[in-house]
Amino acid sequence: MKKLSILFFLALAILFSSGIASAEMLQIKGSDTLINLVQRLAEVYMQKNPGKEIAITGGGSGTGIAALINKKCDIANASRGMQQKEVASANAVGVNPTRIAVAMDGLSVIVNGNNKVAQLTVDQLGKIFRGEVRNWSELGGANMPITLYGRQSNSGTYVFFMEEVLKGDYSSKMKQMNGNAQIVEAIKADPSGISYVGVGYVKKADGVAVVMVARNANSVYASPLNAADVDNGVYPIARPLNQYVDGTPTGDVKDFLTFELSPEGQAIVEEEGFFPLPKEYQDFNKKAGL
Amino acid sequence: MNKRKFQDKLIEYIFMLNGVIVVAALIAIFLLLLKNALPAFKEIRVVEFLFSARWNPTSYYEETYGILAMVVSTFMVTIGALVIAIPLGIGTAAYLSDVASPRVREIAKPVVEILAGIPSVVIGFLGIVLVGPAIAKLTGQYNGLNAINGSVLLAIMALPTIVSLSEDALSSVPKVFGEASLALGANPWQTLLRVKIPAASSGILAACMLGMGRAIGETMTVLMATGNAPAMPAALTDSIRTMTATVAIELGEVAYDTTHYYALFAIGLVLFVITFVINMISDIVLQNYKKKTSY
Amino acid sequence: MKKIILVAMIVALFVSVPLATKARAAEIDVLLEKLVEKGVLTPLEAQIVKDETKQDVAEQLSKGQQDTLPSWIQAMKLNGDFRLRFQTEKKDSDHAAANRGRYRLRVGAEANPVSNVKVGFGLASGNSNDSRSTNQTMDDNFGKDSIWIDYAYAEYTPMQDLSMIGGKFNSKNYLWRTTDLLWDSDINPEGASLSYSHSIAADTTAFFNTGSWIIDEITSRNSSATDPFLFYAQAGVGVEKEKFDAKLAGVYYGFSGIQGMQLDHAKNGNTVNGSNKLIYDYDSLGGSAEVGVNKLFGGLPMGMDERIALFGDYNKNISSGVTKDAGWAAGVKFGSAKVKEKGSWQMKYMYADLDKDAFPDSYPDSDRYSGKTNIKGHELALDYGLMKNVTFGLDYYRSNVKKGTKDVENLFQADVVVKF
Repeated sequence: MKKLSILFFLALAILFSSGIASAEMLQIKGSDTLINLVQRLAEVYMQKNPGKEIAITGGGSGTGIAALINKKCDIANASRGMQQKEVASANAVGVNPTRIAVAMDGLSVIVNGNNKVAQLTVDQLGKIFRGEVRNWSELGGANMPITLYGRQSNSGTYVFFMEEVLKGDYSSKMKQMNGNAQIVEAIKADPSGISYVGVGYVKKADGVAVVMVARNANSVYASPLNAADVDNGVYPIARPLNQYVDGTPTGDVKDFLTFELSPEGQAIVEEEGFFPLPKEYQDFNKKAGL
Repeated sequence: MNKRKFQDKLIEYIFMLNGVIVVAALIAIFLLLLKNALPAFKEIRVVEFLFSARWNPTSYYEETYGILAMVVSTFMVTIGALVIAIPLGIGTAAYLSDVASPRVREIAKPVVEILAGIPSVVIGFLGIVLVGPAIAKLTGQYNGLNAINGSVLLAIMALPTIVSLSEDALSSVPKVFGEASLALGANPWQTLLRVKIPAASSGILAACMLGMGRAIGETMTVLMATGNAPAMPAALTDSIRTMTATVAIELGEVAYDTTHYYALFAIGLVLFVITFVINMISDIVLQNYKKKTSY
Repeated sequence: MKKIILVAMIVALFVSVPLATKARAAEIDVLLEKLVEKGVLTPLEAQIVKDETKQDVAEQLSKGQQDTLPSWIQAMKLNGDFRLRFQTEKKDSDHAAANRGRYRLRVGAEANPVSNVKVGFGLASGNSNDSRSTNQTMDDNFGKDSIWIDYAYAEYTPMQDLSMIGGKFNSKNYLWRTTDLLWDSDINPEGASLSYSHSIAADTTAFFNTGSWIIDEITSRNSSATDPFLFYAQAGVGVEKEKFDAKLAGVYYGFSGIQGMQLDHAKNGNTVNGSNKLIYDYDSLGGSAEVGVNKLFGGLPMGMDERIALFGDYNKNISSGVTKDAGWAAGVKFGSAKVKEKGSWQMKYMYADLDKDAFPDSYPDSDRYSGKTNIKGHELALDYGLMKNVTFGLDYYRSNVKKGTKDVENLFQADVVVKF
């Protein structure tokens, strides 16, 4: 009986503490791509500003945006833009999402370290992932079938790659891996594999090669490992990582966003394997008063 | 009322309450599934949902929601797992119950049962780094993320259930059966094969069904090891995508309150029904077995 | 600065057209790519413009539906259908069968300017202003075909169970009947009607319909004769349970001013004098009944509920001097309750028997012996839903003269109807 009552009080205590906590904390929710970065930013921010508290949870871009619409969080992390339905349901309840770009991600196309193919155009990538080009020999490589690996269908990365590179549907033969780390492992093991991951995951990986990508056959081939190419937009499949807030940011939300975009915050962005915001996106954020 | 009686009553009520809570939870889960699954069929035709093999909710062109390829994949990998796990499991069980010395049994059985405690993520990881490459080598493919890989891993996961329950079934065959058989001149091998296993057959069957239930509902392992390509599989060496993997992969990032969201719950509902039926059948078989063996 | 204006213009251009199709997105892509190539935009600026455009379009779309149009126009419903028909008909006395291609087009609109007032109108094809047909026969060497006003009405529903309608309207909610024995379903009467229903028990409703329909305007100012019109009143009761439904009603028709008249669209079926004027009056009493059983066999495949129903209409002319005064029709139908979805179907058989002076011959179903009276005949019909809103129908009539020289007419129709 004694044990039971202890358990009971413990449960009560947890309930209360979480209730109290959520009353004052800044709630951030969303993309799993962003979670580590934002977590790190928040830790440094809280150290510098004692008394401010930020709680960060993942669950995916969709979860974060849904929470923003339902006013369950202050900032939604999203590795993709909002979809039409999401905008509509936000407007329906009087939420006006404002997008703030916090970091750049150079999406890297990777192949096995032994693959001879070192550069591809966006058009070629589209054909490969739509399943129209099926053998490496068609691209100047060895005679072996191409094995496609991709992210799971609801990741922001999957959607971004589909809309920017494929402009069509993925081949249904593409293996869908759960997360960037698994993709890197799979490509290491499979000499015929090709995939795409956030640049943060390939900087230190060996056994995989990062393919240089050109916008079209007449443009230069650029690598996402080269920060300058991502910064000036020469690398064709770079994307911003976003945070959405309701309306124009004010108060604590604005304070934290300002920190994220400050030189100090952007240094953390770089430490975490992403790229700091280029000038164009800095200008873009000014529209939101940041 | 004296204190003793009061305590008895109290404990009786607490147990009853537990039972009620479990049943209520089951019903609540089912209703929740139903509530979230049914809106999907406002926009998806049931026939298309069940019999179309094209699942592409984030298509560039037009969303399609057909789970046939997933259902086929799920059964493919499950049956594959059973083909491996059942002979191995029954063999191990027979060895443990009849052949092994008591000391070996005392060590071996807990070890087999510990297998059940290995987190599925770990087994999935094994699938990527160990089983997958081995299968790739054996089948001459470039990678081993396919149905065979999933089957092998699920077999490993189903084994403890099958071994442990089959062993229990074999051990509970009354001693007199074996003794009678031996007395009639049958050798131990014949006794095992012709007398003991048939006598324990419904228990073994139930063990296999429970193993199947375990395999069909497993998520993480297949998600990591089978490649999850949404295409309809044509061979065991094709990458497959099970129902559980689809739900686990997509639920995290799906936009709330969309057809896609509800469709994932509809998959959950289908899976619920399948596992429910399998568990019910194994339960009936087990009941049958208990009746038969109560002498 | 120039650049920003340009970008704003691009956004404005695409946002102003509220169509967020993938094709449009691709157009923007191409345009932006060109601008990047020319060095007008940096690649990242192009990306920002593209993303913003997408979001703006989405916002515009969600707002558009709320802001741009008054709510009653949004609530305005358009409907229409198109029917393609092949028809073959032959009387025993004919030398050869007449094969005809015909089509019917109907387009209607209905609006709710005030919460309990509805206005609507509909246009329809048709060879002539025949009240019983909106068919256009394929003829006259590709000559252009005409459009007629099929109906135009205002309907007022002051409370849930009471509604009134005036104009030229579809009468099915204001005069209940189960067959087209007396009233061809294409007839949209002109005048005013009222319908009242009252729930008298959980599943039981009593209803009352009445109206005054103007048949013609003939009176000159110095004549004492009245314009021909019809007054009718119908009272009935309906029971609707999950497995079973039944409806029963009695009706009185009082015609005024048609005795001694020759009505438009008359078919010379009634008793007339030498100058084709009606000899008798047509005040009558009638009744209709339908009994249905649902899900008797536990439903059809494709998840549709099946229904089997018996139905019938009866009418008796009670005016003085009339001898051939009765008409009746009875039938059975089986299949889906409604033929609308793909795979739904319904089969119907009915028998009709209409005495020479049971009812004015300008109203009965025009497919049954051209809509005359003094006939009897069978009808067998099958409807099948080819896909949602597209149905295919076969209809076979075998009718004959009731009294007088027999002359069997066989009429067969194959229809495809598309609703939109």
